[in-house]
Amino acid sequence: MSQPIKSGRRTFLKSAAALSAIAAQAQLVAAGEKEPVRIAVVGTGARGCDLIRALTTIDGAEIVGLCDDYPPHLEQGVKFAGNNPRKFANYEELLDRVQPQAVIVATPLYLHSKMCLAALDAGCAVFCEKTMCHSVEEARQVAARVAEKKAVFQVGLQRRANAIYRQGLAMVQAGMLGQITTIKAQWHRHNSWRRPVPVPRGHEDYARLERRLNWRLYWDYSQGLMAELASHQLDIANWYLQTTPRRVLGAAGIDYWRDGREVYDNVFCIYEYEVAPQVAPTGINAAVTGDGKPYTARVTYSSIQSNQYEGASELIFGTRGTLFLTQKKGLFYREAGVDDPLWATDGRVAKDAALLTAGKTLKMTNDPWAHRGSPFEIDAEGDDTRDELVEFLNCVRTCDAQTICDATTGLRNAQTVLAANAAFKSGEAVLIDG
Amino acid sequence: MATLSSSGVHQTHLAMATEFDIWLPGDDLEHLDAVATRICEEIDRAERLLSRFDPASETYRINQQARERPLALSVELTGALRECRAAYRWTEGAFDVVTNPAGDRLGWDSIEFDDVARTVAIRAPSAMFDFGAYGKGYALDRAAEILAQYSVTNARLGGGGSSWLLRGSAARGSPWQVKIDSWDGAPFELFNGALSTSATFRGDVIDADTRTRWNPADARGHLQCTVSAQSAALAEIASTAGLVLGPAAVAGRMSAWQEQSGKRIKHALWLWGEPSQIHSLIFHARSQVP
Repeated sequence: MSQPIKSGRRTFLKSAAALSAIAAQAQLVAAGEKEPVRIAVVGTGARGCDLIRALTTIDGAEIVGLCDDYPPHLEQGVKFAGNNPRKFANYEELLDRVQPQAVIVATPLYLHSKMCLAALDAGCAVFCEKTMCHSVEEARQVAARVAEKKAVFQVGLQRRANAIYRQGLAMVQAGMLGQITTIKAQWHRHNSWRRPVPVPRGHEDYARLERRLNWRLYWDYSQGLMAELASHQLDIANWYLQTTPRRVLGAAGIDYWRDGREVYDNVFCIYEYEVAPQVAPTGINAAVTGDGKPYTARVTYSSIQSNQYEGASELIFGTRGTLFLTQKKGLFYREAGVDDPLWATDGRVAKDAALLTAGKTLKMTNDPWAHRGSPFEIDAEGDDTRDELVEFLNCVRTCDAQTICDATTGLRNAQTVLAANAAFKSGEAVLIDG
Repeated sequence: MATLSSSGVHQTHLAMATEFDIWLPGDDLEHLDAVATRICEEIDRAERLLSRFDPASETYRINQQARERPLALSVELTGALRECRAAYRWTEGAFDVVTNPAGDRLGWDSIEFDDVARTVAIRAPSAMFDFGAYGKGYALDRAAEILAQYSVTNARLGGGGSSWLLRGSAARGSPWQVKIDSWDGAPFELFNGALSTSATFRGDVIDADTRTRWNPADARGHLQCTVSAQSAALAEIASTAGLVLGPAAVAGRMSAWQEQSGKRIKHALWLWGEPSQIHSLIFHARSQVP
């Protein structure tokens, strides 16, 4: 019987410390510069205000302009910005008069592409909230313009800035999970996803405001749960598998919240990825990968709005272990019954010997999860929304187009999530253009 | 998840290590359900601002990193710190969010807080911010703003049973009935206001002389200070300070507190002794709030 835990845990912690050091260094780059980055935020609803609040805590970030066509949201943004930035209802006017260095786009999805294109044409760096665009064609257009302008562009898939997800990726790349065959992800909630409307039902502005504030519920403005929630988690699948899916099939419906919405409240889908063989590590995780040939990995995804039991998480199933990931906690379970790699045995390999001890009796249990064993825990400090903005601003300062989530990544993410909606609507499997 | 009934929407929500209780009486259930969800989001947002335990919160970051250099603060945390520093002054240090891991109150001498430049630095090695129950009051006040924003006039919002924020009326236009646990007095009525109870027990009092500035010689197990105020945060501040200072000191300071805080402190109710043998009652416990 091996004694794997302590040795392995130390290995994790060293890696985690290295990642933390990288993050801290990144922040210092931003803080060390004298000239603030002049930023405009377009869209000051709930997410826009999250970003504004985070920006006000970052040294060297100056919010110079805010834009929203809904006055209560604009006033809310001004309140959180605190430095009395210039206010606009029209984003083109903002770009023209303020001439910011960087623009944050946090508007409803259907507005992303035209606002990103206008900002890029104005010479700005752009941070665009996920999902990158309402259609794949729009996303291609934005990605092409970013490439043409060699612009700094980042999509707001903030798990890319989260130390837990980065640590998980490092573990995958080190071969600690072995061959990843399956990923299971879900975001299950129990609420209507409906925003309140500040005027009574009979008011002449009710219908207009209802669609304006509940834009997520209507196809003209939104791509539903896949774009608003799944995009984060399927980005993890694309990131960890280092490729995009080839095919998706699924089913969805409006099953519980039959309140006039158009987008689904219950989505289930399966993605198929053609995964290149992982290069076999030669160090402590040697001999943990598969047969060296390409293989198919499957990713299941669901999002429901009538039960929150499972919450939001991803499970990465590998032949050597399982990673459970959330934004605040990661857990790694070694798969029982597989050969221990060297990191799990304190470097001792003794298959050609038998060690006789006093023996021990295992406690019997009826715990249905006993087979999982005890996990390694992965913790991290920091707000990934703030951290992704720190990384974006560092790229703006250094004119580095290689952001943590660039336009190509955003395009692939959009292709991934929008293909599922196509599959739901057609009832057939949809091939995804790689 | 909310429970919708013919008379309103009821929802409970776990945050800040407590259970928030949201009851919105009314007929437009879809609207009230959406408002209840917004309130839950706002409570979560307040937790991400003020929690010293959440590694993603701004307060956690300040506690971890503000010893190295002054840190930029959000507008919102600046406002909360400004209110807490003012309360520290007008309660003569009895309400203090500057603590150490042992829970000692350290005072603001160890803090460099510039509320104009919006920066903070922690100068004492072990000092940190712990907003404690103030966080619940802050969250309830933000929830009250959501109610106003969406024209919800009747509401009962609770934080763990020791904090309540009441708006408008209960069913059929009648006032909210407030019954104080541990006190056998009659319930009193409240239309709009916030209530907070700070309480401790024998063991805590004997072991925590650094926190209380009075000798509760008559206390036989139970000490409780209940305050009704215009805002939930103010109720938390005053009840905490009341517990530290004791009933006599609170009696002498009520009007000054009200003046200095700029808000109305409506009631202060003091209870001490065994829960079944309440010895004394101070202030306007039985009267209706004006």
